[in-house]
Amino acid sequence: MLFYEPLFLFAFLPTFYLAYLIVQRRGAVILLASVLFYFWSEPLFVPVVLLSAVLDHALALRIARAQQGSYAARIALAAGFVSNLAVLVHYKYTRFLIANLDALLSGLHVTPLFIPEIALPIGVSFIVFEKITYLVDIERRISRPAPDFATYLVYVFFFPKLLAGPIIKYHEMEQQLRGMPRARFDDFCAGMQRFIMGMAKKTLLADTLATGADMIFHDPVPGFREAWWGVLFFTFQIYFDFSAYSDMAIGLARMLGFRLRENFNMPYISCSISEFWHRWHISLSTWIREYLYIPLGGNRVPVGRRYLNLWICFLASGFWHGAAWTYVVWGAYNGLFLMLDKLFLLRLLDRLPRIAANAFAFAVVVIGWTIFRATSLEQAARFLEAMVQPTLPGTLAGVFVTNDMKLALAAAILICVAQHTPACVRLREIAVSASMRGFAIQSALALLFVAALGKALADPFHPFIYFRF
Amino acid sequence: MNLPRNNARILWRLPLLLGTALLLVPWMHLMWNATFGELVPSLRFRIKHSIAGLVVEAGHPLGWRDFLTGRYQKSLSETIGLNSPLYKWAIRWKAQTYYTLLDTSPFNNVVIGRRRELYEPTYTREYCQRNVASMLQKAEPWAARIRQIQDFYEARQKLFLYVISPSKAAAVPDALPRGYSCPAPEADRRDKVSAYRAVLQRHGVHYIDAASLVDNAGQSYSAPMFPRGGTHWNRLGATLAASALTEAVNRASGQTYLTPFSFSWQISYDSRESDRDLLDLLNLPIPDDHYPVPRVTTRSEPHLPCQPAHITAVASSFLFELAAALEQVACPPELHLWFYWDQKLFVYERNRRDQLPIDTSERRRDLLDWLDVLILEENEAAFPESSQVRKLYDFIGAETAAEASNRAAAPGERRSEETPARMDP
Repeated sequence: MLFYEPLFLFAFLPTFYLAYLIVQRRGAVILLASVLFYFWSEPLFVPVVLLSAVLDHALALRIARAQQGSYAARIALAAGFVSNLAVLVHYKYTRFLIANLDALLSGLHVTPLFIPEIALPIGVSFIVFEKITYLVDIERRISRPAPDFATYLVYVFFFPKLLAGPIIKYHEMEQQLRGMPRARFDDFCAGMQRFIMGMAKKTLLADTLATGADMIFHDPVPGFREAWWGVLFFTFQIYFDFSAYSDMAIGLARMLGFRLRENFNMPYISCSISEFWHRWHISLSTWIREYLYIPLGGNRVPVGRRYLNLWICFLASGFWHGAAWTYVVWGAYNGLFLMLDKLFLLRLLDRLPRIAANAFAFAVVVIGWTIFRATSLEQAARFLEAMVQPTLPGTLAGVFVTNDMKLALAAAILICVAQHTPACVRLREIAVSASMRGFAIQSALALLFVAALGKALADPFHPFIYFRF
Repeated sequence: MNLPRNNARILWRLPLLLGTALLLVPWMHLMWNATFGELVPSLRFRIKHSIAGLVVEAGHPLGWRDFLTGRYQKSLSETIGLNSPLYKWAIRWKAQTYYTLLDTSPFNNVVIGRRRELYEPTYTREYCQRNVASMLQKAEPWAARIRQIQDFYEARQKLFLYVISPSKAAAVPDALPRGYSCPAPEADRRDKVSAYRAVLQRHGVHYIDAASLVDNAGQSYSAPMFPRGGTHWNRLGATLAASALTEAVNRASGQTYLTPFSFSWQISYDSRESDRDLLDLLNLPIPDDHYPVPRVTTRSEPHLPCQPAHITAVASSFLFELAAALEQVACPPELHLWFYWDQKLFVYERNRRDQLPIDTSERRRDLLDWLDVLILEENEAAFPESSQVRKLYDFIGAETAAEASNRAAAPGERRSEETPARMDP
């Protein structure tokens, strides 16, 4: 059930919200709605998550009872870590690992292994990472175990962030889970406003850009023009799609009185890759830092080891995004630039005018996205080659960049550039002010919502020419 | 200016609240229909579907398997959207905004070209990736198959004609959208049909190249052969093809199977049916339908007694206008159109068109016994690969094999000729 689907907008959300406002036991309402929400999408995976949560909760209690750093605590933590990771590996990486093993074995004339298709449950990567934070936070004594199993389940299944994040660490939500906030009028309005922004970004911009990107990446051998269009479409599609989902998640949570952390902070104005990763998918990069980089030694190890750890973390981050070599290479590519930043690149970029540094960082990011989006490393190479050959013509018929795609791209670029300007900051302040200008901005938001809702309803429609027969 | 403080909290957020209320309208509609509407069906709010191009599947797949695979959830969500009071509004206003403000098609199965000429992307893509060399490799065996079909019918004293219908993208290429990628060399785009014709001639296939006929006539008639808002040829183009068909049938048979006719035409701005099939799909609340469409008047001498020819056609939607043109003459033929072989049956008899479901025994009868003429049609965008030709060929092959098997059987064991040797798959 996606947030812009009719079922969610016209059935689930109003019904759930009404119940949330009326029923005293808000925690129970959220839990029931969240489990139902996920069961609707992944009926077979919900029992797996529940069983895993039972194990987490039991292990958390054991960790809390044991002395910090003791053998018992470490064993319990390791068991929890492994059991959660096993779920992720089974559903997400088994086929990839077996396929690569088969490729090796075929060279040795060994019969390839066969495994049945394993459906990838939506949101599994987010769920597993969050459950790991629960156990680690308790072991580090940052958090206490949830007061009861139901509260822990609310954290695991909390539907606003369930499918696509942000990755909420347990300690970030602990107090709110214990208090189970009320939804106030201001929370509703602020949350709805955020949700509308997310829906507009998703349906009006991201989906339009996606049409263009998908059309061009369907081409096995693009020309120069097509390659650049495709890469630019995807660069902004992924930002607006992902940040839109975060906006909708944060907005929905706020409507319930919960405050979730921000996940994006104008990443395309970054002046280095290091800065980019402080602004992009913040919940993941902070997770990597707190739960992987620091346990690997963090900044306490010698410099060489530190850079290697950094690179390993980004390799893992790439792998987290998907079970394909393109994601692994993308992660390694980002890790390489982070290492270079530490070595000399940051100092070099600091000496440049901000716009030049921004252009450089943006170019590095765009090349990375080319690798990320390509369906194979071969296609990524072909796209990168095409991007540096201005006279290379396209070979696929019917590639047609339409005006809506161009407009969406222009709007996306403008938004990214304008976001940090004083005028835009001022606009955000006015939007929440009880004034005529605030009223005007609210009206514009309402119109934006109408447009976004209309497009969300209309987009799945594909008219059939022989419908009369 | 700031609003009075005691009203500020709600008033200045009124637009946002009204926007949110937009969600409540379909919610209340859904809740009402799901509760009171289920108990008392007469209380249901019903939405009339007047969206062109909308195909509504009856019912939801409801089984555990459907739920586990997500089919049920997808189906239910689509239905909720479809039955929402906002749906029609959303489709129409998205369409109008895209068409008017962005000069872009709102749906991916209509392409808007220059001068607002509409195309189906299947045809534009085909035109722009033509490769005559690759086509000729497939054309040789294909033409051989068509010749075998022809021989089968001529051996039964039936007439056979293979009709090549035109593609709008090939007929009106100058209106393809600016920036539309069209990598095929111009020679390949231009020469595909003539190259294919040469192959057909070499194989002795009796054909009518309606694609070239219409292409050449476009210049001499100085009238469009395709409507701006449609994907099929207009009545003028179809009438030209019908005239060529009539001549060819009568010449081949040595008698007046089909009534010869003459025709005149004049421009009208009243587009109907297939003149606007793509335009209608756009679902524009303010349709842009003021464009010229030729209105054709045919003249023919009725010959008595009228014995309508029996035509069986295995064809695509291009036969609709051609059949309609033939129906305008005196003593029109009776035509049974097996639409893409197995999708629908259209029966043209006594100046009516009826749509019937597929009945394989009826189809066999039409293809073997009932007919005088077999028309096999293939669009220039589809040859040499269309499914209806392949399926007819397979049918003929099965019949030929059955006949051979019958002949090989011992006299005492010979089956009754009434019994079909093998039913259509």
